[in-house]
Amino acid sequence: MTETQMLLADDPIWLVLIKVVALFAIGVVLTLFMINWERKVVGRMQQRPGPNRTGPGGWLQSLADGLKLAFKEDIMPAAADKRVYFIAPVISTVPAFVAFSVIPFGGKVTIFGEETVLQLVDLPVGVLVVLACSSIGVYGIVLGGWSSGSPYPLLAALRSAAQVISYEIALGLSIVGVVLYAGSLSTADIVAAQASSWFVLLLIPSFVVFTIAMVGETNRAPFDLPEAESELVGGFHTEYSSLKFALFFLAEYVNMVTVSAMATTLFLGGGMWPWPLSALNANGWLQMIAFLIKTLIFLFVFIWLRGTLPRFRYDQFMRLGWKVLVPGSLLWILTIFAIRAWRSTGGSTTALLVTVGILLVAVLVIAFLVPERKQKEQTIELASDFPVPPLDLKVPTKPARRKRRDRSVGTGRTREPALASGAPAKEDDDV
Amino acid sequence: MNVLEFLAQAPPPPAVDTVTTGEAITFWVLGPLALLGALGMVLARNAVHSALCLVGTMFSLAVFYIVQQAPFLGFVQIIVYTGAIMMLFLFVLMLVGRDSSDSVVEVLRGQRLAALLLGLGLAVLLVATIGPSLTSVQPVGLAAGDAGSNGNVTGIGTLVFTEYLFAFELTSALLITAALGAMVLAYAQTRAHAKRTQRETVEARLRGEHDRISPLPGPGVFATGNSVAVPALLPDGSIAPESISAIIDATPVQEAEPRAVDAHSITGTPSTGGGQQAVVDAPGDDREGVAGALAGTTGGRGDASVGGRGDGRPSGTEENQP
Amino acid sequence: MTPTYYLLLSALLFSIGAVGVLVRRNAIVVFMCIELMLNAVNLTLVTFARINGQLDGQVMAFFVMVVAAAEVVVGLAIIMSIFRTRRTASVDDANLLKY
Repeated sequence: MTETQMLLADDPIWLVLIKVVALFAIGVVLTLFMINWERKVVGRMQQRPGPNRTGPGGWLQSLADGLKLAFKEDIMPAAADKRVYFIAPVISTVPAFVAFSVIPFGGKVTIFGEETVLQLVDLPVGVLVVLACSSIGVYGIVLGGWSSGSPYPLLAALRSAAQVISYEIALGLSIVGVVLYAGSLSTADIVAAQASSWFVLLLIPSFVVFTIAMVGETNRAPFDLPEAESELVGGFHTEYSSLKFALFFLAEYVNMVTVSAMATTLFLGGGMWPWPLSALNANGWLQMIAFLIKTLIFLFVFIWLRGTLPRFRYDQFMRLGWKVLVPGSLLWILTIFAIRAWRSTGGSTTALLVTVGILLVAVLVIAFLVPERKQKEQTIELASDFPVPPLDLKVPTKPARRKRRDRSVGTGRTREPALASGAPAKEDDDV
Repeated sequence: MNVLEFLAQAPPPPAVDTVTTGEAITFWVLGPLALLGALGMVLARNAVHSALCLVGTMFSLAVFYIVQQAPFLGFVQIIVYTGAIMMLFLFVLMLVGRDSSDSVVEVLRGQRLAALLLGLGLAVLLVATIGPSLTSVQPVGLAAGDAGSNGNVTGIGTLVFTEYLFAFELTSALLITAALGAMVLAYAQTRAHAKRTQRETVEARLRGEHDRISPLPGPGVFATGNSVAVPALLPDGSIAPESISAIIDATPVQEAEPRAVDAHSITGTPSTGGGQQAVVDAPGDDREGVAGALAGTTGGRGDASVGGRGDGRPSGTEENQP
Repeated sequence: MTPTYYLLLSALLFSIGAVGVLVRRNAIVVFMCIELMLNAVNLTLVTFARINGQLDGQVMAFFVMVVAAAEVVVGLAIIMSIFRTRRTASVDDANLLKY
């Protein structure tokens, strides 16, 4: 057994309970923080302040929203399947929290005299726990949509589930590279294997695919068509209100935190401080601070994407998931397996670098020198007199705006609003 | 040494793997749950409930695999079986099978009784076969993997790629064939023709394949009303004939007289007094002419426009009112 | 309790699945009963792997899972095709080849 497993194997029950409560608290507090932070950051990106009334600086807004949701009327549609309607939000929420259990938050610490690590369990197949939890979380979506008893939630639920399942595959494939380099499926081992260099540098394509897949997995913008309010009301949670809706909401945000934490663990070295501050790695609690900072960076990227990018159409992101991410991941896995096999059977590194260099140069040369396909010109005859702009329209560039100062300088008077005095202003007459 | 000596050697006694208390509790809690799930699947009326009971059974089985030192297989059971295969079942059930439930009356006479008797017979036969082994077999247990490999995953990987390599290749060929077959079955019937892209649709529309290039004018597009009963006004002030509903009496709309648009009044820079006067008159003219449901808004707007001129709104907004 | 109790459980699950195949009429539910039988066999394989201390049982169970996945894919595609043409998912109605 590894050191982490040995430290965790003799945890007394009270310590396990403390860790469970702490994980639950981290999930809920990070969710509340995320909801508020998202509204503020998106607001700032749109040049408005975001919520700033409730609490100091507006930071109690999400708490107030949660309390409001608890007091709302709990509606159950007449055509709903009662038991499944009731259990669907629970099925969505529970796996989201369970996935926290394998995430290595920090290093070795001593809690009340008991030496342990800041992790709940360290299974030898820890990474699969997170994948399994996201697989079960899909059930909440599908059952929530189906049990609402109305067609639009059902269609949105099926769409959403198809999206999540597709991006789960890309997620799993991007983890394969990390597992190969770390030599183990255990999350603590993966963090330990990044002591020399983080996998984000060694496995850049895997990191890119993982980031895109994690945004698609959590149904977040720009992949959030299944819950786009402008198109589908609310998607699978249309008929849900009050606490059940709050649970779906909670599940979505906790999922975001989980995949951000996974990205930190797999690619950014978990709780390790980067080079200038490496001395801080000795303290387990400081490692947890580093872990939280890195997770918050990923969460900020989630918010940033939501505030910046337009929404993908459903077939566009399914095409991205299946035709770009999955084949790309498979090719990358082939490449790293080939490189690894070459290196481990004693092949020379220089031969490898020369081969890779030649291949890259060849690809770039082909990409730049192959002429683009010419689009054939198609003349379109108009069928009626309906005014359409001409096909060779060139939009003129806007002339630079003349400063408003120029006019009042000449007249020596500020512009008056047009009819306040009841008489037309005669500025031009003075010129 | 010769063969007889080799055969005469007794094999080393294998390590005995006993069942821990935790495993016993897990078995006695989840075993009946798995059985209940299986029974629920067979007996449920609603097919989706049936699928959910099976999901419960599969989940219990996954826990059994984890408890029996097969963690990789347990999680693969959750990810693949529960997460993908049962999800596929649920998709098909929700799209296809919800309405078609079994009939309560059994068509074949005696089928249910015969099935029950045969099922019981099979169960008795199997239990009787296994029964004597319940106490006499000494399980060896898997410790931390076997065959010299450390860890469950590496052990399975080694076996799959050395001893069972041919089966692995055959299975992957089978998977590819199955995926291709499913695609052929699913798509062969839906795509009779190639789907038109957006660009082709636009070009077809401009070439005149439809009655009109643009959609019908909505009510109140160029007017101040949004009720279906209000006909739309074209940019030059006349009523659009296509927007008059055939089934609802149209509310009378006073057509605005087409008048020359004063560019300066649109941009808000007053040029002459005449432009101002025309703008002032416009709300007054049409206040009576608009549909009853919107009198409030238009009147309100008209009032605000006259009195609220001081708030700096460009006068062009009133100019847009017919 | 010994590990062989798992074999009892899987025998019972297998019989329940067999009864389900004979009794139910909805094609998809019949398919699910077959999946239950496959799962019972998987449990048997894993238990034997543990009893004998070898991983071969787990590898076989892994292959059973993969083959079951392929089978489900094709089977459900067939059921969907039948449903599209006949608007019914009942096995009683697929009797065109009956003499």
